[in-house]
Amino acid sequence: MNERELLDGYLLLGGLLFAIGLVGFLVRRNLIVMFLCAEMMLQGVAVSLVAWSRFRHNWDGQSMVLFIIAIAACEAAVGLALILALFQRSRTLDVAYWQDLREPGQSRRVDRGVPEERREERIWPRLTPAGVMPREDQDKNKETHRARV
Amino acid sequence: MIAWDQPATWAVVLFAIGLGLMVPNGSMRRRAIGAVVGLASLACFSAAFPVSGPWLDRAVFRILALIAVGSAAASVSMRNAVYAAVWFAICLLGVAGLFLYQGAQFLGVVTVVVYAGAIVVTFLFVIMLAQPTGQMVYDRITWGGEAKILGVGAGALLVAIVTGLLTTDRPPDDRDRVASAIAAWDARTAPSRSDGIAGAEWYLVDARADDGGLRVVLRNDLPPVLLDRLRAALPHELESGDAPLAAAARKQLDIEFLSIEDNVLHPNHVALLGRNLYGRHLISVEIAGTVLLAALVGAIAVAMRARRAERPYEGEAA
Repeated sequence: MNERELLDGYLLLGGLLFAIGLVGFLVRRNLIVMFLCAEMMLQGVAVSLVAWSRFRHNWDGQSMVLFIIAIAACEAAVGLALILALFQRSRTLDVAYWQDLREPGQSRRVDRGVPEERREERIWPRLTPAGVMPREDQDKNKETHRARV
Repeated sequence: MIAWDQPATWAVVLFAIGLGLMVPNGSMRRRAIGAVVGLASLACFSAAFPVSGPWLDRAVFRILALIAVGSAAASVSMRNAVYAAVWFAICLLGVAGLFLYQGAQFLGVVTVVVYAGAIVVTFLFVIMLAQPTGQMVYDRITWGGEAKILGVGAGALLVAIVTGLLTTDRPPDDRDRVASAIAAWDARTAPSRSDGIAGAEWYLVDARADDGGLRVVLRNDLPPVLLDRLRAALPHELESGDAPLAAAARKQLDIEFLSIEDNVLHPNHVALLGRNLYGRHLISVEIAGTVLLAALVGAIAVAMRARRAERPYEGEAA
């Protein structure tokens, strides 16, 4: 594979990862998923930096990716602590809950046309809350996990 | 203006449609159609950006790219945050593979250890601590309507710009002209040479012309005899393409080889990266360490204040 084609392919991949992260950040409403999408944008940038580093034979690109990873770790720590604080205040991860912070003149968002939840969608895989001993499920016949997403 | 006969155009259009259908909406079937459209878009992208080389090379690159982009899209479109985090971890494994494929071994390992090992686990911890019961409306429908269309449109615009820039023919710069001159000389003289040096060995890292002359950097060490012949032939070869460049080459032509410190593909990879990191970027490393410490302290402070807000009377009783 020649170097120019390799560079083009990696730049395109970086762009795709960045765009997917951007779309996720703009479209999703779950605070945690929005944060994941921000990390995905960082990955897109890292991919193109590594590609340039190889193409130009310059180590600075790879060093910069290391700094990106360090900053991403900081961001994850602080951001997730903030999300935790917001969740304990509001008991929801919905970013629309905080829409009182919107600009003046913007109308309030109201969810309309919410589709009915189907029966098989109600059972939802859960993680055990931290620090709590998991309770044995008494009723063995009860369906506890949905096999399909 | 828009070239509808190019696979790249269709790739971008299908990318937008597929992603728009895949992000959470009411209907399962619509999301399945979105996944199929997204795969078709990836196929169009791979048709628009053909790569040459041995089939195994190409297959590995394609598979890693599919893992990275496919699981990124899956991560964005999962309604449950746990699944989104797990798909993001798979996306990171794909990206780590892409780093290894580029010869960036250290970064590949660091991505797996730090990102997939620590950051994603932190995400899972927070999902565990902040877990609303059951399936939420905001995960099922997200922002409906025009907000979703605008968001997907912004992403598609970005991809369209990148694809457009990569598929348009760029005007050749000094580096391209010198590279094509060397390639032409190599193709002409290769049958009469018996040194067994293949075309890829002539990989040109940099070529720059200024008032002083032309400076050329090659990646691989070459036998001196061959180098002298190239030095003699290059001005003639450049004559046909670009007169100012040939004049600069006649004035003074320096052909250098990439030093070991600059060779990103050197086997002694980690030592060289460390030298760059702790030489050129020493102050940045110090600052990054300080930022990490500050973030650690800040995260603990924020989380502890949140705890106190949850049980406001505890402090007074004690």
